[in-house]
Order: sequence, then structure tokens, then C-alpha cells
Amino acid sequence: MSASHGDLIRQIREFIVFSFVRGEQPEALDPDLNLIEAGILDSLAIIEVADYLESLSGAPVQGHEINPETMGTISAMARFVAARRKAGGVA
Amino acid sequence: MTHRLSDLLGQRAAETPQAVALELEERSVSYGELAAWVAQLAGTLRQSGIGRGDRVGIHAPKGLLAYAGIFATLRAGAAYVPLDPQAPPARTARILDDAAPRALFADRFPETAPAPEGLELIILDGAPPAGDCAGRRVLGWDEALREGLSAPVELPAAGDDPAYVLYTSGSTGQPKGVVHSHRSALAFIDWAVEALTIRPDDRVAGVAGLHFDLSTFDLFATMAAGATLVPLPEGVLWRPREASRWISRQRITTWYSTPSTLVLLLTRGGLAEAAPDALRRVLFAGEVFPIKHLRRLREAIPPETALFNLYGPTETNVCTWHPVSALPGEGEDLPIGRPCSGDEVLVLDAEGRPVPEGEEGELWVQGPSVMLGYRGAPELTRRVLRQRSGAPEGEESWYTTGDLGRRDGRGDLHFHSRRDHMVKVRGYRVELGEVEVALYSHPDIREAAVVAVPDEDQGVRLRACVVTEEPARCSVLEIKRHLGGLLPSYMLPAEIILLDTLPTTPSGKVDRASLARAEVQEAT
Repeated sequence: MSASHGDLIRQIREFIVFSFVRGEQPEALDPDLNLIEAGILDSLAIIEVADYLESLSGAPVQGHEINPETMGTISAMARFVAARRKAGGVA
Repeated sequence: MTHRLSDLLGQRAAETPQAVALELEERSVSYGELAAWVAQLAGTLRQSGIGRGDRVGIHAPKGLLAYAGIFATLRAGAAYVPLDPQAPPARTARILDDAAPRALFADRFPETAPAPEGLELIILDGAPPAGDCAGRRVLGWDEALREGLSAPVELPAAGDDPAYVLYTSGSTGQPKGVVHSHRSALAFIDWAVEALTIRPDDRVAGVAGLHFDLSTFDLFATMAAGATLVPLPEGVLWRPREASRWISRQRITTWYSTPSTLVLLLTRGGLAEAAPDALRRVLFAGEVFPIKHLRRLREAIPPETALFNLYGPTETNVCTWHPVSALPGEGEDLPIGRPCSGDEVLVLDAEGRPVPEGEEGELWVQGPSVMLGYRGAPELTRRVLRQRSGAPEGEESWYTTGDLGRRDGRGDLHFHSRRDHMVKVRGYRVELGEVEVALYSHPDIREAAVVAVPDEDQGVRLRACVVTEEPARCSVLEIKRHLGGLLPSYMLPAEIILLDTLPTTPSGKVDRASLARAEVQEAT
């Protein structure tokens, strides 16, 4: 089943809020906010997020793929997962 | 006899020009090539009048530009200032203002960080950007090499010249610049190469960031031994399994990191399954290694791989070492061991008098690997580089570490705890005061206290307890965003707790012990 971009954003946002800014409303987190620059993801959190995106996309995430363009914002993460699913035929 | 760090490269280039100095992802660089580039880049710096008494910033990930930039800076007679490429621009700007570099090696044109006054020359990885560069000369790599071709560089042999400035957390909010000389760096490097028997066939992993003092071993001990430096590619530590496999695939013989990084490879990276068979030695420093995980490490690596516990604040380089021959038993701690790098280490009371064997005191360090001082802060330097009470006239000063410990019956030193509010997070020094200053700079925060909470895998994690102004109560998210703009990642509190008031002790001070205990009642 193909998840829409909006669904993916909601899913990832819930994961991030639950894991790293517990107590916040998920809607408070702008999908285009740079989470690394904003201090929401530290280096250990990035590992967690990469693991999560791996499980969402069904394909391993390599270290060199982790950068502000792929992981900086929730929107970017959703695009990354969608591209992975498409490439891997998972979607 | 080597007097300057830059000589290490020149000597090896003359002896074994074909040997591989750097093994980068995209290519290998021989000693001969690296030395030639360094000479040209040093010439470019000299053409601009940059030399002794100057500083040059390095704002790039571990790679050819950064390594060549470091050696070119040293060869030109200046001191290098490594900056954390991941740090927020505001903090980098504060460090640049303090360091006042005349040149900068950078992987990209610094758009966000306002460049300091006096910065004249920027050398970039690729081609320079078109258009306005705010009155500075900007050279690409190729141009910088060409320009320095014809410039002769004379080498002043003054070992007491500053070689590098490392910025560490400062309790007032301003990072402190620890200045080391060629002599103090080489005291450690010469000791390390000999005691740890680093050889030309060693492959040394470059794990630590260049702004972190562990990186001086990676770079300079490798060059001193004529071995090969293999920098861990950016991002790989975010995939711990990949990092473990990298150690095996790259046939790494020498690994030096914080215990936290090793714990990550053990708990999340499947280090044992990756079979790092080539490892000859694993060195760790920066924090206490939890015995439980040390035991796992011993089982994950070949039995003949040597383990070394190294100790030393940034201000002293490594000043004690302990070859781990047997793991400590139940209820014992791992010693930091015996003095090294030509240093002497004493356990003294607050006045600088010896304490009886086995009793706790502060660790004082004296010797050739101790820093010159803090940059531009003579008063702060005088406070930490002190004389012992009743010391003979003219005795060299001692660095008072602020670390409490003891010397046991066998003569081994042990670290206990800190005397002040400095903690180690994943091996990085964090002054809790620096985090508090950042919190207080938010207009809606009335009171703030940051405490370190014990954490099984990470040693400690930071907890910020915050009281906000009524009615403009700001959210946890807002506080995180605020801190994220001011502090590097390792200084960010893992927990932010909003409280109605901060608890106080009977004497009226903030009750940090109660804040650090497991459950703190959050404001509703």
C-alpha cells in the first residue's frame, strides 16, 4: 500500500515527538524545521532516527546518506523514505 | 631531534616518500605528495605574511584540506585552530572572535558564521565563489597550491611557539582556548609512539573530530611513526554496524576514541561479529569506561589486542596511562595508572600539600606536556597553573586539574570525580555553567539549573530544570530550539524539565543533588 507524503510526515513526526520532545503536540513541530540545527536531534538521536527510517523504508540506511539534505527536516526524511520505497519496489 | 610538529612530515617524506600517509575514501596520499602540497600551501600563507604569532582556522571535516591545512599552518610557523564543523554558527563565531585567525581553511565559504575582523585569506576545498567575498582573498585549492610554488619557507626552530589552540567549554559561557606549543604536543607524541610501539605498518583510525584533543594522537603519532592515517568517513558513526565493519575492512590496527564510542560499537554495532582481527591496540580516554562494557570489549576483540586507558585533560595532553592487563574485579575501578609524557602527577590537598597514600586529593600535573596557557586569559591561566605551597624557589608551575583521585598501594593513580560543575558527556567536556548561561539568555527563562544524571550506557546525560516567566511560559520545543542555536550537540540536555520553582538546600543554594535524582516532579 502506498502511503501519501502527508501520511509519512505524520508518522515520522509522531515518532520524533514521542522519542525526543515528549509532551509536545506533534503539530507543534514544523516539518520543514531543521531538527539538527534546532537542537532536537543529537548524535545518538540521529542513530535512532536512521534505524526508524530503515524500518519504514525496508532498506539499509548508509552513513554517507545521513546529511542535512536527507535527515535535516521531517519533510526531507519523508522524501528519503518515499524514494527508497519506490526504488526498492516496496510501495 | 624533532622540535616542531611540522618536521614529522618532512622527515618521513624524505625517508619514505612513497609510503601512504593518508588513506581517504576517494584516494590515497603518499608522504611525498602530502609534503609537497603542504610546502606549497605554507608558501601561500607566507606570501600573505602569515607566520609566527598568527593563527589559522581549520573549518572542514577530516580530509585532505584539513590535514594539509594543519601541516601548512605549522610549517608556516603559525598555530592552527580546529573548529567543529557541526557546531552552531553562533558558537563558531565566538571562537573565531577569540582566536582571531588571519587565514581559514574551509570546506565551503562560511555563509552564516560572520567572519572575524582580521581574517584576510580563505582557502577553500573547491573553486572560490563568484562575486563579493567581503573584501577577503578567497583561493581555491588549485590556486592556493600554484601561488605558493615559488615562495621559500624558512623553518624557525622554536619549540615553545604555539602549535594549536583547542577550545573547550567554559563555565562563564565563553569557550576557553587551550594553547599548546610544539614542545608540549611532542612530549606526548614522542612518548606515545615509543610506549605504544606505533610502527610504519600501522593503520591508525582517525575517529575523533579535529577540534577534540584525541585527534592530535591520530594525526601526529601516525606521521611520527611513518604509519597510515585512515580517517573514519563522516556519518559512519551514525550507523554503528557500518563503523564496526569499517574497522575490519580497513584492517585498522590502532583505534583511539572515547569509551562512549566503543560502547556504541559494542551495544549497537555488533563489533564482535565484525571480527576486527587486525586490531593491535585500542586506546580510550576522556571518561570512565564502565567495567561491564570493558569486559564486553575484551571479548569482542582478539585476545592479543592491547587495551590502554589514557588520562589527561586537554590542558596537559595525556599525562597518565594504564595498560589494561587484567580487568578490575567486583567493586574495583580501572586505574588511570602511572605518569607518562615526561610528566609528574601528584595527589595534593587544596593548598598543594601531599595527602597520605590511598586518600583522596586533587590531581596536579607538572611537566613538558602541559599547555602554555589559555588564550588571552592570563588571569584564568594563573588560577589553574599554580605553585605548591612551600615549593622551592623557581619550581615549575603545576596544572591543577580539578579532578579528584587517589594513588593506591601499587603506585597506580585512580580518578574519582570532579571538584566542580564540569562533566564529561560522551568524552566531551561540558561546563554545566555554559549550558545554564545559554538557557538564561532566553528572555522567558527565569531560573535554570543543569545537572548530570547517571546513565548506564552513556556515563551521564544532561538534565535541564527550568522555571519560566509567567505568563509567557515557553515550551520544551522552544527551549530546545534556543539551545540548538547556541551550543554544540554534545552540550544539549537530553531532558528538559519545566518546574514551578527550583528546590533549594537549607543554605539557599539550588539543590542540585535532588534535581539529579530519578524523579523530579514536573510543573503542570
